[in-house]
This record gives sequence, structure tokens and C-alpha cells, in this order.
Amino acid sequence: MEYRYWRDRDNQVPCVLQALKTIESADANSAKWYRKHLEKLRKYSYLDLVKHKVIKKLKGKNPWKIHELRFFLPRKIARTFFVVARDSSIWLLHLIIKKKDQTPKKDIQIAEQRAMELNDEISYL
Amino acid sequence: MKINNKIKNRIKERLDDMKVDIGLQILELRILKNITQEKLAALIGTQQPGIARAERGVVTPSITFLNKIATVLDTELIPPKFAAVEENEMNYKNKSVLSSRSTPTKFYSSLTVISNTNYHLSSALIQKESILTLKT
Repeated sequence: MEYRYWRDRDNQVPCVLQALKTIESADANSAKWYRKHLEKLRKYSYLDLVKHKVIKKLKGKNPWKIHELRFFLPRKIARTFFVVARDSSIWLLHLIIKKKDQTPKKDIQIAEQRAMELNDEISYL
Repeated sequence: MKINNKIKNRIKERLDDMKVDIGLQILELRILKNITQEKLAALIGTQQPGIARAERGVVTPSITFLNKIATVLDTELIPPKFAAVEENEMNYKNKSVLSSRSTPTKFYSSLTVISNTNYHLSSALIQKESILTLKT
């Protein structure tokens, strides 16, 4: 798997890395663990990770085919929304740390909008 | 005896780190061996949530638990190490190699080093030293 980072037009820093920086300022440990998870799970194929529920496709109407990476950091749960391109590279769109069981709709909408913009640039669907 | 609060916090932090590390290890092993949590639990003789908890880093799994997983999935468990002891061993190995280099270029000089520290040297290291003697 190859990771690619989505960045907004105004920003030069990718969205996910920016979110990681804000996490790092509050809690350096979990940011470190997030990076380690990304590195270690790169070795395995998409299907393997789906089978073992590291990757999950979002439920319901999902026109942009958004998936999520499920990482368990110390006392925190991180979710990363992403999209799989045609060359099987992974576009990381949005990163959150969960505070409730349910993922907030707001964050899913952000991911959807970014996926829409990405689809305009490279039609991955 | 009460433990100092600072030390308590440090212990907690390190333990959190280790829990996540061990959890990742279990997950990776499961992916490699292509086995589900339920099947693994059945093999060990526990239930699925126990393995899920260990994987997420909620609990600190015991060494007996990890050993069970390793034996069931045909691997070996590498026992935990103290960093200080490991560093000491590495230093010792490096020193023994360096000392053989610094000694005068005679055949017996390096051979004597080997005979003195015979137990500690692995076979690979002995080969290295023999190559060194050939070069000199």
C-alpha cells in the first residue's frame, strides 16, 4: 500500500499531517503511535486488512466509497478517512480522535467533500 | 512502602506504550497467519473478547498468554529484555572485536582472544575474527 496525502488548495501542509501536529502538541505519545501504526500496517494488502477489520467501508449510502482506518492508540481511538485510487494507492483525507462511540456526521461530511474534490482532479471512481 | 508519584507516572506511561506494542504484534501475527480472533480464542481455550482486549491495548497480557498464542501459531516468543543489559552485551561484543584489531598482527594474538571469551562469542563472531586473522 502506498499512502498519499490530500491537501486543500490554500494549505501547503496536507490535512492529515496538520491534524497530527495538533494531536502531537497535546499528546506526543499518541502521535508517535499513530505514525508507527501507519508504517507497520503498510506491509499488508488491502484485502488482508479488510478481513481483519483494520479497514472498514462506511455504512449506508456511500457514493464516494469512503473507508476508514481503525487504530487503537493508548487510551484513544483514531479514525482516518481515506479513499482507494485506481492504482491501489491510498489517499488519506481526514483524521480524527474519537470522543464518543459514534463518529460525528460533521467529520464524515468533511471527508466526503474532500473526496468529491479529489474525484474532480483524478477520477478514482 | 509507597512509590513516588513521579515514578508512578513514568511506569504508567511506559506500560501504555508496551500494551500498544504487544497489541500490534498480536494483530500482525494474526494477519500473517490469516486467522480470526474467534478461531484463535478457540485454539487457546478462551473467548474472543479476551483477544480483542489484548489487541487494543486495554489489558496487559501475561507472558503465559502470549506463549500460548506463539505455540499454537507455530512461532517462538522472544522474551522481554532490559535495555541496560542489552547495551552492555553489545558493548562487550564490540570491545572484543576492537581489541583483536588493536593487538599486534600475529596469528596467535587473535586466537588467544577467542579462547578467553569462548562462551560468549557466537559462531558468526568467531568467523569474523578468523577472517581478520587471515587478512592480517
